[in-house]
Amino acid sequence: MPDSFQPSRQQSDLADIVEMLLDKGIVINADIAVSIGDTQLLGIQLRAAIASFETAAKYGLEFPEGTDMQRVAEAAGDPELAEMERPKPAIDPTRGVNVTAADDDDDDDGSDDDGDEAGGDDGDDDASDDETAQDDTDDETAADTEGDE
Amino acid sequence: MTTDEATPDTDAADIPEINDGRYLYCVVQAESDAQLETTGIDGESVSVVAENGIGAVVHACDGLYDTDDLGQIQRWLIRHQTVVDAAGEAFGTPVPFQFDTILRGGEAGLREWLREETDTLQPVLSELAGHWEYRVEVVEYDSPDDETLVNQDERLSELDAQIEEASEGQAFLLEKQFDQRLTELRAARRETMTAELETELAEEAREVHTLERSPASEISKVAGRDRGGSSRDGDDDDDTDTDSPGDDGDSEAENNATTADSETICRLTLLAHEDSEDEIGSILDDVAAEDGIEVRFTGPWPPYTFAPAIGDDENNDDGDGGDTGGPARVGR
Repeated sequence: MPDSFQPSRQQSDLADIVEMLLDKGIVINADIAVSIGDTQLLGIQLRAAIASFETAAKYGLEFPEGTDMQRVAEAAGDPELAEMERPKPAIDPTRGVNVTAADDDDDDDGSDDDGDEAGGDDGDDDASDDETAQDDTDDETAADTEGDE
Repeated sequence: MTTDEATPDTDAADIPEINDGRYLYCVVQAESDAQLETTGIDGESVSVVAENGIGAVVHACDGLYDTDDLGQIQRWLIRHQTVVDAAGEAFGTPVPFQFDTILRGGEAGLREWLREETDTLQPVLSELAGHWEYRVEVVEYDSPDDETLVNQDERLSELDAQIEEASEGQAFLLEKQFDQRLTELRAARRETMTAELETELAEEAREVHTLERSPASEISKVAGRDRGGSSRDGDDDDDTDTDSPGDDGDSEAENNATTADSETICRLTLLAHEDSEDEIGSILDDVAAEDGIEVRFTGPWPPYTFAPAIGDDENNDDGDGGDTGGPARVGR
């Protein structure tokens, strides 16, 4: 345990992100703006997917046992996923969302117009290759929490 | 191309066009020459558009981000968050928008909007400066077992004794009462623990709110938001598991927060000044030191939960301080 309990952004933060970004944040109630809350027509797929997200969210978005987090991180193009601690076993792994399904969505790797997802010019932590996944975590998800479990 | 990628299967005719939209990440305190070096959702290039000392962090887009691919949603969400984080690092506490909030009318429209809303945004930005959202989840690994509760509660021991002597039919009914009493006791115990922690935290934090014990219900509410489903009445921070004593009806919600070997006592969200982090940490230290208790403490987050609704409120569910009712709208 650290001397004093420090907040971290590592373990359960995907669940927090999902909840905060989709349910909170500034809402603009005006014709000039559109958002997923606006009409039945908007964000339908997103909302449907979120409904199935629930299964995962129940367990704090824990990934099924044996999930290769490095691979998930690559698929998601976000190295911090690789830094997630191996999640606790899901209660019923068969109900967990299979995050590796993202693999068959190859847009980011395949299409050249999306090049910066693959790590090129952006100075921040967007790189999706393994090595950078390691040293890129400094500012955002400082690995300073040994997570008390 | 964003639109094409984002909505591959959707009948385009159903979707309102957004010509020259601006995807909004957050607003920050910034002058007109402000810049932010980061990449947005789908690799879009992010810029800061500032008016009256208020900078909106945006990228140009022409459609809502929509997909049924969970991996894609995750990428978008995390990228959105990464941009907001970068903005926070560069400009101080950002006031974040809900994911997928897009303003019509190009840069001119955005500038106009910023000027119009200066009086709303400026005070929010200054009030939230230096403050962040922190989230606390308290999980108990050895909740007292039924026997312990029976020993502690007169009514339960009474029922227990009656069940012993009752006929099969009576016993069935008594067992129902027994289970209900158990559920009530457990809920009351959680409430007491939560209230104590809230009181302590409230001394160091500016605001403390109770969240549903399981994030799942929050998320399903988002999905149903257009039907007004995201608002619940005021007394319900715990009603997912106590209001319906039927032993089946509530079990799904209960399971969200309770697993075979652990039970979520509470989830709290705090708005606190960054300087109070240590004090809050030390309160949580004490809680975590108790046997069988695990505390998850995440943050600092941009103050999502404490961000306002802006504009006329005809879209709000009126009355009960629902989901878009201003900074205090998590007050459940």
